[in-house]
Amino acid sequence: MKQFSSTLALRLLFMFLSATLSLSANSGHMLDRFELFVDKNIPYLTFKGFFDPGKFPHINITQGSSKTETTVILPNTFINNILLPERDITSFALSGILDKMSLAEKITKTENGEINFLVTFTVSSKEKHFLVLDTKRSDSRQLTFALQRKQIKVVSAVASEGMQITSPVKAELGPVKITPREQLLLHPVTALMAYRHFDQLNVAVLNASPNLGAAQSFAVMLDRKQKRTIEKRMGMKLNIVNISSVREQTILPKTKIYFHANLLKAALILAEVLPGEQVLEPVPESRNNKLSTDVEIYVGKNFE
Amino acid sequence: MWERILNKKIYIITLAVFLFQACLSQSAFAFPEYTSRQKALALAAVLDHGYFKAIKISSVFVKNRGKEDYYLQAILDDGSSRKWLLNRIREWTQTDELILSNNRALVFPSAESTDFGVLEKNDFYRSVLTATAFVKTYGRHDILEAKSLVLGVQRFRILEPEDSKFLSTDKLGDRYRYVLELENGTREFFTYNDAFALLQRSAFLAEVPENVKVLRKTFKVIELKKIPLQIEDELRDIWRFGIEVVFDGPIETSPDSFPYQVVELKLKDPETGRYKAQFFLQIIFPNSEKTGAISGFKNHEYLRFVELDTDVEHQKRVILRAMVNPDALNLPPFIEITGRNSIVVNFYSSTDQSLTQPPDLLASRAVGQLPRSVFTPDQQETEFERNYMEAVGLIREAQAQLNSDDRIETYFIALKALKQAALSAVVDIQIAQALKQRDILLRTMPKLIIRNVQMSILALNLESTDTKADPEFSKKLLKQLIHAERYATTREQQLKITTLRSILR
Repeated sequence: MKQFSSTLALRLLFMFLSATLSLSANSGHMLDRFELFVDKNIPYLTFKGFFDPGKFPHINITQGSSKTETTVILPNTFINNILLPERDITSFALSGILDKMSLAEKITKTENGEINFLVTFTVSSKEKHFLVLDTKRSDSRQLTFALQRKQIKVVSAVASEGMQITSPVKAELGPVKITPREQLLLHPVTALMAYRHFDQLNVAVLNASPNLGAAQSFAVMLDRKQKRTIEKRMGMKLNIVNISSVREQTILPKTKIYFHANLLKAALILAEVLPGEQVLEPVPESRNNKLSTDVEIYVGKNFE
Repeated sequence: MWERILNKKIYIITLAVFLFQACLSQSAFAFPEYTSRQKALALAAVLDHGYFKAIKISSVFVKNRGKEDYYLQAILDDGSSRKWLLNRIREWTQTDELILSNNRALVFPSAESTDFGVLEKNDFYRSVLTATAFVKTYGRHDILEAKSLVLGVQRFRILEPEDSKFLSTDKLGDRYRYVLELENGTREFFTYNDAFALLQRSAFLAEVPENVKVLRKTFKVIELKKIPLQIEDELRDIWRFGIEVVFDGPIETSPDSFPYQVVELKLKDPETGRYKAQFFLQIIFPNSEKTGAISGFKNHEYLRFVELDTDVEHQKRVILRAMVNPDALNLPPFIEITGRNSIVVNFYSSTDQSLTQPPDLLASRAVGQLPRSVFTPDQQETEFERNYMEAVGLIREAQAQLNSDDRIETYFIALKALKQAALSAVVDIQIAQALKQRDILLRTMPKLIIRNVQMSILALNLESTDTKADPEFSKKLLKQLIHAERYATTREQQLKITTLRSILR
């Protein structure tokens, strides 16, 4: 009997860990439909659906076989076959920009038994347009590419082979130019006049601890045990929109709560209710546009 | 109990759990063994004629396992042929067992992807040795994430055995190779990966553009001063107080370089012995130093134990720290750089709970992805935004005016701008915000007008009893009172307005 129970416990543990792992690793995108539109003379190609902004840096854009062709590989992506049944699109709402777009979904199984899924789409433009990922216009519900006429020089590891490593990030060195809008949003009192209050707080829980299932456990604790207390104190509905592991394998010593500028109070309430010690910081300016959630919780090493 | 602990089965189960976890973590975060065809071909060309464990590489071929999984096969000068998986190649480059020809280094910037780069070490040396300034950009999860400081370069060195980080590695397992000593007294250690990324980012400046200020020394804190409580926003009853941090020289950087964070600490209550959560508000000052003892304050409004500390985790950083009651912290602090070698940290207090509570407005119902601010996300200025920003600007301008008559007149103009904003609104949130600001103004204005008229009549009485009031001025006050009468909310206000109108007539 004892042997049976220990074997059973072991199996259950294995199943739990596998499930946790698969939950944390297999997030991605789903393409529902696309739109082409022109904004201040710059055309944009936008895919609507469900996206994981944390996976945007893995999108690979390369020049196709001709100068007017661009190939984009979207890893961890599926196509919604009901909403987007066509694979070769030749008629566009906005004529004169794109000639053809072809979509291909690829699902493979590796020898380890893992499922790899990706979507490759190739765009042929009438002029020499090049697709650039527009992170400002991309979030969890849309993925936008700007169609730029002049090809942006990509930083290449081996120039002759044209392999893309990373986009160059050049820091703005001169005095920071603050627009009237930014000025208004930066001051806490004027910002009060610009933000609306809302009754739903979208929270993402990300794992930044060595424990693989920490984000999942944290989200369960937040959703089942603390939800009512938090909602009552905040006056907002708590909505967990994303649970995943951190891409860059960061291990944070303490759980970190990133909040938008107008959500300090909500973040403080979260920190008060949650067990353990937390660090609260406004979302860095560089990540502000990419964040589709109101609060991002990076579960740190201190969460047990 | 001991029998159970010493039971062999417990040991076996523990060991099994540990092994499972180890295996799972390996497969989840391990560096890939295979790559794409394109990358494999490029990598083979890079590795050609390099050295593997001091043996020259004769040639490198690309091989594949499945349709997508490519690896390399190397032929060495000693005649041996070896199968090279990508994870092994990365390990050998980290331990210098695999060296490229022509003084280059192979780098893998990500621990998850087989994307690679080639660091031209000679280019790096030339760049760093001719640099007069270094653009330090703070990394992910640092409180200063993605912010940059331009620091003066003092000396570049290749790490030697006596250096503290010699042969030590970063979190990706890459060895530190170089050290850059900066004029402000800090040191930056670089791996090949860092050097590659810094070259890509053009972080070494041989010539500094005219509009860029290079920080050559740290800002040294001299003292802390209290700034007393004063009204900030009479419409919402928001009060402001502050702490002025005085430095030894001008602060040559922008206010956004001084971020804030709130840190929760569980401290033991000496009376009960229980752990209690305490919140500390911290303002970070990079490139700063505390050279002597700086006295803080025990209390300043809702701040407790205000003190200035040296950051022990980061070089040349000081932290202004204060204990706060989270219930009192409704608005975040705001940093201002003054012209008197100081930084003022403004704190705000208000008893108005509606500032942070969701209103019962239909427009506030979060159905799907409703916008969080009145501004459109695409940074384009719409007609509404122009009108609304004008109104907000006028409200702030009015609040800074000492003359209450001028202040009321500016509020009247702001009301017109809010009306224009409401007329040009295109989404619910915009019209809701414009009307909300209008209502706040209308609610406060009767009180302001009554006080203004009372003070004006009192001033006239004090000036002279013989001279008659300027009819134009009386007319203006009467006009203000008519407006106040329309929006007076209490019986007391109505009575006061009637009395004042009769006096003016």
